[in-house]
Amino acid sequence: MSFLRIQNLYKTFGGQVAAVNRINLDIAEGEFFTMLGSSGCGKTTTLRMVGGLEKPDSGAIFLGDQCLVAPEKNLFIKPEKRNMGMVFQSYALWPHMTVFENVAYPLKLRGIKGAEMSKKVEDVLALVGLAGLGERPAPALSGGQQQRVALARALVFSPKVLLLDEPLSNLDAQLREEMRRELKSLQQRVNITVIFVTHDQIEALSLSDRIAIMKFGVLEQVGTPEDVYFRPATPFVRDFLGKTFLLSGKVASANDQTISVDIQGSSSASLNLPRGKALTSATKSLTQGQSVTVAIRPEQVNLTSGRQDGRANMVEATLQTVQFLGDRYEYTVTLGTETRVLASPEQQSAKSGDRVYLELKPEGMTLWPSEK
Amino acid sequence: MAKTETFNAPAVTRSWLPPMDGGTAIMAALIGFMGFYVLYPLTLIVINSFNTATIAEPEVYGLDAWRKAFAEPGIWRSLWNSIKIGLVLQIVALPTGIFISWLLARTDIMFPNALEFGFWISFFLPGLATTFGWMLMLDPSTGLINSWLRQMPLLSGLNFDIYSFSGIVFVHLVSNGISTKVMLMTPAFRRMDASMEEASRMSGASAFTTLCRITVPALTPVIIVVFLLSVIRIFSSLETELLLGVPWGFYVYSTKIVDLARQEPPLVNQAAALGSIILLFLAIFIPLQRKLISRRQFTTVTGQFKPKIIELGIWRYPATAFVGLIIFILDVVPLLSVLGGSFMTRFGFFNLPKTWTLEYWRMALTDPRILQGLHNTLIVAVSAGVVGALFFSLIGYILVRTKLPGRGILDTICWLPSAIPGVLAGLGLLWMFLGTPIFRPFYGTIVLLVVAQVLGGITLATQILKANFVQLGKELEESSRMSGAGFWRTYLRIVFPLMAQTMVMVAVIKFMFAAQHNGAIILLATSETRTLSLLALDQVAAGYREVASITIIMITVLTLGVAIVARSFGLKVGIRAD
Amino acid sequence: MKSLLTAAIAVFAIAAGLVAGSSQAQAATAVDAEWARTVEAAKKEGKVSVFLYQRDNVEAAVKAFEKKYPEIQMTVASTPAAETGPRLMAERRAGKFLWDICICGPTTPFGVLYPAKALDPIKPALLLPEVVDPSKWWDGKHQYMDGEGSYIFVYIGSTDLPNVFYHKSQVDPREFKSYWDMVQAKWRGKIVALDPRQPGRQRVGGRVLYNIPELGEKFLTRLFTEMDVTLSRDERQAMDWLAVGKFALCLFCGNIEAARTQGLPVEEFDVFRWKETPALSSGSNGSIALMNQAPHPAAAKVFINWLLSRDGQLSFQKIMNSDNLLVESLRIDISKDAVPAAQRRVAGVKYVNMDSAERSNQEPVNKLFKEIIKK
Repeated sequence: MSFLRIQNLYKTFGGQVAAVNRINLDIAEGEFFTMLGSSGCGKTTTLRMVGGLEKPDSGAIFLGDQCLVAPEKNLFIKPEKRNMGMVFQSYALWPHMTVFENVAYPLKLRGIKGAEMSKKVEDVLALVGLAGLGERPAPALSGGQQQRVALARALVFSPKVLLLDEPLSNLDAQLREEMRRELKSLQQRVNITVIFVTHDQIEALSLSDRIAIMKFGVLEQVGTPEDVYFRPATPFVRDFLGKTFLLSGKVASANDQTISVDIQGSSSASLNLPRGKALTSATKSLTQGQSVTVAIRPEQVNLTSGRQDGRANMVEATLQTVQFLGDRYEYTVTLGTETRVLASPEQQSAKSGDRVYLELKPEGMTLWPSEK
Repeated sequence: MAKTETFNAPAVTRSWLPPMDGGTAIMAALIGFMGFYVLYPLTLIVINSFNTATIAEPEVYGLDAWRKAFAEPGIWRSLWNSIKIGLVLQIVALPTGIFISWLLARTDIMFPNALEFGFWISFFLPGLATTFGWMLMLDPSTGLINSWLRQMPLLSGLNFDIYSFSGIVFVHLVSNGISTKVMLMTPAFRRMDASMEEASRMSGASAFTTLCRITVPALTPVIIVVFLLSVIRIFSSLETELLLGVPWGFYVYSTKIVDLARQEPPLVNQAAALGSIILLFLAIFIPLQRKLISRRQFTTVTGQFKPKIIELGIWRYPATAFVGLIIFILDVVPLLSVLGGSFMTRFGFFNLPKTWTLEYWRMALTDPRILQGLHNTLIVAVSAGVVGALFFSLIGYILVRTKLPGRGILDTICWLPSAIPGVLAGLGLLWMFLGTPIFRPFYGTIVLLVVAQVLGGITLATQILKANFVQLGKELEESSRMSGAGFWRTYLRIVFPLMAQTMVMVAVIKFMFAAQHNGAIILLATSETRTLSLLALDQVAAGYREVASITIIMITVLTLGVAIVARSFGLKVGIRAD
Repeated sequence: MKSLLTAAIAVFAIAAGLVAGSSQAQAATAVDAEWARTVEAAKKEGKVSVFLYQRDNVEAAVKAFEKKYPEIQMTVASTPAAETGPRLMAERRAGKFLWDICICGPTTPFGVLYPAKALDPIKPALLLPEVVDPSKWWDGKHQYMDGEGSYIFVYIGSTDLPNVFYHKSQVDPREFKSYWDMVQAKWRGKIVALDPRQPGRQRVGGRVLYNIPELGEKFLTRLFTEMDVTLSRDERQAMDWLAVGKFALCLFCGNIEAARTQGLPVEEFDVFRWKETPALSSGSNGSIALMNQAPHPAAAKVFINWLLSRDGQLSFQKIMNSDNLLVESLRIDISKDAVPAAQRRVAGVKYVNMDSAERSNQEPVNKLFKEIIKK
């Protein structure tokens, strides 16, 4: 039984293009669920429909067994009745109130007063690491602190769901990392269902129990971070999440266990892919001689300077340049006419112009229809 | 992190503000200029209050005028009456104005632009027409509405008396008590970051609770300014009180000032003494409100601009009807009064042998002075509008956006002129122009009329601009400064376009002030520099009130035309709400 | 120039007073020559500037001068009543001597300009024989407002003030024979008056009642303390109230002609019904003064002589008389067709002349009103 269910949710602005195009989602209680995509993909609109700040054109949203919105049944529960906390990208702290007043506001609206209110506010401020700052006027805080206030305000009334709309995007890189870690531990401590919207893949991968990747109002893939990273369902997902190492080739043979692919531009290379892992939804059927693309994350490629016999999935390449980046080396290699970049923590003895070998981990390879 | 790379040495040394010495120079220049322009005439008024000689004699200084002025019978009561009108009016007008502005700017009310313009029309309609219109409606014995009420079965007990305290408040309310507020606050509501309200909704507050506890408090600076403007305005307001108050012995402070100034021989010094008290009051009060506002930061517009419209649901129709009704009350009576006044043989008399006539239009249109009047009006009003908007926006920007010393002084200077009744203000300007070598050669020319009218509505203009600058997120300009633009370029390329709507509004308001108000120029004009509003005054003096009201119609139509053009322009250039 | 002028006048005086017959013609020639020279000089100046009390058609009335002397361009200006004094004095203190002539009500010249020594005597500027000849003027003499009798020349004497109107169906005019008839219990609360503390007709009206010997302080005190008089600051408001019957009597009101023509049930008490002495007053535009250091002295002279001439007075009286205003020239050798017959001055009747130095003084009236008008 899912906790938050989205059914056939559909929304247009001005009727032309669907901002959210009939999406379905099931989110479990206590789950950290992320919606990831570039701007304009419909992720924020979906979040705002969950919160009640936008009305869908059709479809429905359920929280437990309660229907929150269903335009067909003329049913709409106002945002203030949904008992959800939300953190906005701009934090939306009220400038005329102190930190304490900002956080206490949702409690006052719920009739919680006096000592009980103060205790709850102080507890939640302590939780977000702002103990003792209650009397500051809200605009007098730093960006990170404002973010924490916004978070405290969204958490203070123990909402059923916490909605986060790109909460980290206004922070600088270092603070963002710190807040990211804190957010995760906070969520685990509070054990609240979180819907998190971001365009940052690192945030998505590191925080989420599951990720939904959206494009043009449609869900491209929903899965665990590992699923979507290593086993992307679509080329969009594959390229959106991190770097990809692509090799073009032709299917040499295929059986139940293995698919064998001949790599172009390299006489010796023939790759064997375990069928179960390599096939994506994009490559359901294969015929011999079909042009395909093999994709692999660069970190699953090993670069060696000598050919090691007996090891499969080796591809020959020419080393062009080596760059030292402190924690790793970056190797630029050419395979036939194509140039690729690889990173490795290990230093290689090979020099520019030397022949090198790339070892591709079988479980990391996925097979895609050839791209022009 | 490409940003930090562009942050090379020369960029670092570029200051956020104009370089300290340059900024101080600008400030010193502005204070010097404004001090001269605004304070000098006011100072002359104060000085004159200590002159105990009659105007026919050379000056002798002493305290006699003060003593006599405050020994005037009923003077303290009149002061209290002014304050009372100001407060009661605001208690009604402010919440109404806020609510309507919110409806227009933040909800899906129908025809928001058309409705908003209805309030502009009300603002531009001459106040005297409103007063006369409502006198016709609500005279206790002969008022049309009262007569109608008497015939109604259930309402026959109702009778309104416009010649009363509540009548005066009512007329202020419908003449511009509400419209000014809607005009000033709607843009501010429109530019507010919607996520503040959304955060409140998500916290569990209804739309109405959010309006009361989040939206309104977050817009405190605008609201305080609008409130103060209206309160101060009461001190210079005169005509309504004369028509509706004097018959039952109700006098306000401005009546007393004008009475003294128009005594025979004129007791200008005593009038000046009464006026000086208002100035003193402002000089204490304005810095206080500055402190109140500046204690907190009120940025409600951010770079992420997404105004979100609140859906009213079934309330949409009643809300539209409510605002429509208010506009009807605000616009229709004065419009009918203006038009009726021009087509009726005698306004308000429907049973005359010849009730309707075109004679007044013929007289107005064939008045040989009208073309020259129009010409002079355009020169004065267009200059005042353009120069005023540009110049005062610079002042507003500096007041809000820099940390230069002396801002408090500059701000206070901008508040002072609006509380002084036209008679005194006009004398102050006259003395300044005649007493200053740079102005003296222009005396008697239209140049000084322009100079005088640029000052008209200075408080309204700077405060509108300030309130809007406060709301404009700093990062929008800072990003420009970061991109390598200096103070002036940022001001011209970023601030200007972002504020276009406000600036246009300010220009139109200044145009209107310059075209309609004549307190400041009445003592400066001659038959060659007479504007339409002065012509109307002459026509009233000549007993042709209907002809004068047609001249005023022309001014109003002119202003509305400018407003329509400006508004469509402003909406295109400025930030759109939808 | 000045000495020449004085000489000319001296010559004229001698000629007029002592010599008869042929020498009269001789003198006339000298005057003619003097006048021709002045006009010539005025045309050279090309301009004349007149400060007005803006009322009714006064601007058109003085601008008729341009028709007669198209070479002399006219600038006029006006300010609402009481601001004239402060404006002119401020200008003069700043060294701006912009105005030649002031036709600006009774009190600014008398209360401000004259004590401030801003005027030149106008008497020497009177050149045309038809102007100078006292027999052509009411009472056989020139009237001056100032005690010296040479600065503020009064050329209008109308009988209309203080202007009492009534509502036709509420008042039987035959009941009114004396102003005291207004102070009866039955009119209590039925009188509206334009506030006599305000500049303009109402202020002069108040001063008239104060100066009529049978009325004075006593009458005004009873009127304003016992009759519950409603004050208005607006002529139209007061007249409308009278017309709709809200009040039965309207004091110091104006514009009766227009109201009558429009068909309103209002009427004016004609002046001769009152048994009290009637008053003559110059109104807002009935006196003329010559500013000193005038920028166009010759043109100013031409203007003064034109305005006070038969033609000038006829034209002025014709243009000024309107629905709103009664204006009767003090010249007695011109037609009075423009003035309603019932309101014309009658020879032989004794009038209270409001434009004497003593009665022009507003101060005691102000003081009285401060005491008796408590509202």
